[in-house]
Amino acid sequence: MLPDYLSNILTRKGGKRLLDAHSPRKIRDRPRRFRDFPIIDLDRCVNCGACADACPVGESDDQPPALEITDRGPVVHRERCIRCGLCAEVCPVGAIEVGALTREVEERITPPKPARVVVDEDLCVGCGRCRDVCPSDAIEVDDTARVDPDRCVLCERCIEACPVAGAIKIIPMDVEELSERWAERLKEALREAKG
Amino acid sequence: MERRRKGEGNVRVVDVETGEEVPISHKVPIGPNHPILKEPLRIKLAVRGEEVVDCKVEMGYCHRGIEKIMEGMPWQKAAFLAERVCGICSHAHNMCFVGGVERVAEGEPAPRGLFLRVLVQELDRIQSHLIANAAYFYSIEHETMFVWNMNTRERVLDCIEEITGNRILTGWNVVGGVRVDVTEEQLERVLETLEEVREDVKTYRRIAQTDPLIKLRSRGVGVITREHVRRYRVVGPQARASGVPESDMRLQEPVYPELGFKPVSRRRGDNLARILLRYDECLQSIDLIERIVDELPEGEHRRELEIRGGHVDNRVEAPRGELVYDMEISPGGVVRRVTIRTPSVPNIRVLEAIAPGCPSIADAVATYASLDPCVACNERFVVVDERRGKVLYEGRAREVIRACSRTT
Amino acid sequence: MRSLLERLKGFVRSRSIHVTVVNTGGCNGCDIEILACYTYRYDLEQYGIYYHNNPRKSDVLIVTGPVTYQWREKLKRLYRKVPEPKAVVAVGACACSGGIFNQNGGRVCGPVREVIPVDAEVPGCPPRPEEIVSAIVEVVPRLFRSWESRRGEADGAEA
Repeated sequence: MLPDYLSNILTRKGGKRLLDAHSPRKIRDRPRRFRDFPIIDLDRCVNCGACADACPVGESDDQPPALEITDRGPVVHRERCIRCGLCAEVCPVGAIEVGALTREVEERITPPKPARVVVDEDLCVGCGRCRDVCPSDAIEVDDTARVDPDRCVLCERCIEACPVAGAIKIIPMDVEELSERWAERLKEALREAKG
Repeated sequence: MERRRKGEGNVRVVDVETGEEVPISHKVPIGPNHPILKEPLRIKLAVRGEEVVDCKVEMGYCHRGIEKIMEGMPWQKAAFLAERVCGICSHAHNMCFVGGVERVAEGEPAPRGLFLRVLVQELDRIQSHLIANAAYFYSIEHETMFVWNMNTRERVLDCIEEITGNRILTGWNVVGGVRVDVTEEQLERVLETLEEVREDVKTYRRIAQTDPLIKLRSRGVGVITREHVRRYRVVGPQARASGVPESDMRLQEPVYPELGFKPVSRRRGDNLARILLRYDECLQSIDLIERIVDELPEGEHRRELEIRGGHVDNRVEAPRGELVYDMEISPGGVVRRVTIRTPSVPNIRVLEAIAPGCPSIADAVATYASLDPCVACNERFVVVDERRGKVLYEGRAREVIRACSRTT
Repeated sequence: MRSLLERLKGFVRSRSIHVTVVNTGGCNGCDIEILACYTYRYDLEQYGIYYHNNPRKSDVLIVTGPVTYQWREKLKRLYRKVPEPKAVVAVGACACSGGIFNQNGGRVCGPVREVIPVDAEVPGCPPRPEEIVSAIVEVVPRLFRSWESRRGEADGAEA
């Protein structure tokens, strides 16, 4: 009997390996914080346009920007993308994934919002335009409009759409209130981690 | 011996002292694409036999208009653009830009962020010095040392990858600190890898010091004197190898004084001194990284700062020397105007002074490689004749020098 | 049906490839990532690909960087110097589309494919060495293996 390695060479597969320089070799795993091309989850996307605003690769005369907002939602042009990962950092709903960095971003506790949108009930006429333009369905209109602060992504589209000047305002949050909220979120996160 | 050109191009070479014309036999243009050059640049040599009589460096193949694109960009985007001025010393550019914006902001950046920034900067310095030495050994056709240096560089890149997630062009700095925090295990892995790197670098330094062939090609070739350093404003390792240790900008940066940093220097100023000085600096950087890991402050890695805007002039010691960002920032962090002065401009120009007198063309080429040239850094400058709408100069070295002397 | 000689030629061509790297004014990042392909870890030479940098002797041009205005004519001239059969691989976001420099205010003349014909593009800023290696190893031998038949078609079309 031939030794194992000889019979292995004489088989078709082994012979191919002998002649073939393209031997399989272990290429190192990707680093744990590697930023890949962004993948956008269109189901979660609210089409607010924050990613396109943050993208450092702008448009030129003949080329589109790396992240373009179209009718079907944001589209990544891979040949333009520089893999910086800014779009994932600014996305308010976490719909963009850029390789393993996304995990790092998600592991941080989502900070409380630095501002909130407030409706002045005396001025509001209840026309419902803000509800139509809101990308995240945060506004309900009965007599006057009401804003759900948890769902609001601070895109300010309602302010642009509102026909009455000053009826919808964006108010920066108080620093003390912000720090209180931070403490609450931290406690919650700790409780979740224990439980 | 001082010589100057007369007339068009380098057809005639005239000795300044005697007024006699120096006979030349050939003109040798090198570049913009040539086996010894990794980047586009043209070197015009005038030779008599093998001896180099005159040298002229012509730049301008890399002009992309970065400073113009940066105008009107918020710092979040412009930081990525600053990084792409040069791929090898990318972290220094990013750090210099972000540090400049921080100086016109309210409040202090997070101390842990600053230490992590310096940690990555030192790693970046090691890999840049290793690639510079590898390029030198490739130019004197010592391929073994080339491959060894590049291989050690891969290990350093592993460390950078471990911390930041990318090999080069890391995008690691933000105003107020760094992007992501590091963990203890990551730092331990980095230190383990650096132990191996230290052994390697010590071996390479010993080989470069003792190998007779390397000594034959490098000792006494391309000497930069203190006079050259003063006249051409040579910066970085090139100046420190000629005995000017005070050219190190790290003495004035924020974190280094706490680490007890002292610049190293050598006296000879020839090719071999520059190579050995880079190895010295690699070892020094490894020591610095160990001290940084020991003294890393606890706390947050990033703070939100309020940017109030203004004019700022920030200096950082890049791997190749002093890097200056002269910026005008609007309130809120939008870049109004930025001028970048990179260390490679004077470092490449000094070749015009030290290449004449090289005994052979190959030595002139090796001298060029030993200056650690980085052409991508240089060209961001256009002079336009407005009446005719015609581009007169595009990133020519002399114009860049003149523009920079305004800022410095 | 290709003749045995043609198949042999294609086989030999796909196993011995000399490349030239041209930096057309990029930031150097892609260049040093290509240089890193020659270290032990990635080792491009085990696939029979040799880093040559002399356009007159090479088969493949690897172009990095957005083509600056100073490079435009020189790149065309360089492309004409490469003997047939030849292939062009554009590496990096700059070479594929002008990258971050091709926006308002930048002074680059667009992607490489508008200056010379390009066969393969590797996106990323910069692409990792394994991405570059896999692109060159996958695409380039395939181009040269089918060169004989493609040339036959072109000759037939002319005749």
